[in-house]
Amino acid sequence: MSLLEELNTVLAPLIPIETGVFSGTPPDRYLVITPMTDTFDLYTDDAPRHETQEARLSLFDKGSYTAIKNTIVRALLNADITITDRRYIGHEDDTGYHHFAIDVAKDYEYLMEEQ
Amino acid sequence: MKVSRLADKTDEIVPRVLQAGGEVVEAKVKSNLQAVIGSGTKEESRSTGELVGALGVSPAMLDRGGNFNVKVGFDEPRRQQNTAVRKRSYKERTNAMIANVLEYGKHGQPAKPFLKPAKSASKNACIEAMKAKLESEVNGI
Repeated sequence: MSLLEELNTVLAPLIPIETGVFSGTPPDRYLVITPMTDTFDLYTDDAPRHETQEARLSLFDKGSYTAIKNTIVRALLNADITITDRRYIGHEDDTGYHHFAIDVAKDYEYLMEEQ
Repeated sequence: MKVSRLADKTDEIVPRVLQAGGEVVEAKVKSNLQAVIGSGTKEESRSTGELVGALGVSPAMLDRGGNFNVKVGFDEPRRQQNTAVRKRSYKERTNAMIANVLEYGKHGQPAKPFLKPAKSASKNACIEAMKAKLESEVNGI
């Protein structure tokens, strides 16, 4: 399981979601996942055994974003995903979207053998 | 004796230690920034290198809580703005604004995070650099 897979599983029932860029005509409310980093934090026997995966969720909403933002945050927390930052980026006057960013991270066991 | 000398020199040593850590983070931010500027653009990049050139580490300063800190960030204003002082366009396009759009993206422009990944990736190296600098400073007393 990876963070991207988990995010898609948890959030797809709540809001239109894509990774990297929203292809096609975006709706009035959508979410984009941007993968950020995979870092090895813990080592044993000279090999990484544990990695932290981080991603940024960009919520775009032409209306009130508060309710959906809270729903997303609760869904993330219920899935044991750590929220490292939540930030209102601003209202994009040229596009009419409110932009809210949620940074998330989760630790995964790192297997040296491919599954 | 050494401990009392260390106490006297704390205000000299701490800024140098923070500077050493700041330089590690700055190097990582710079390499990330160079990687994202102009990548995946719809049209050919017209980057002038000004944003990368404006990146730097601030001198160590005391904050309101009495703690020293340094900041890795962008110098202002942009070159074009220098010629626009007192004109309406003066505050239109700051380095901070451009960096923010790169970092978080906008509708129709994918985010290309460079600051947050740099923070995660350089955290351990930064701590190690500061520990090494502190040790050398303490040994030099």
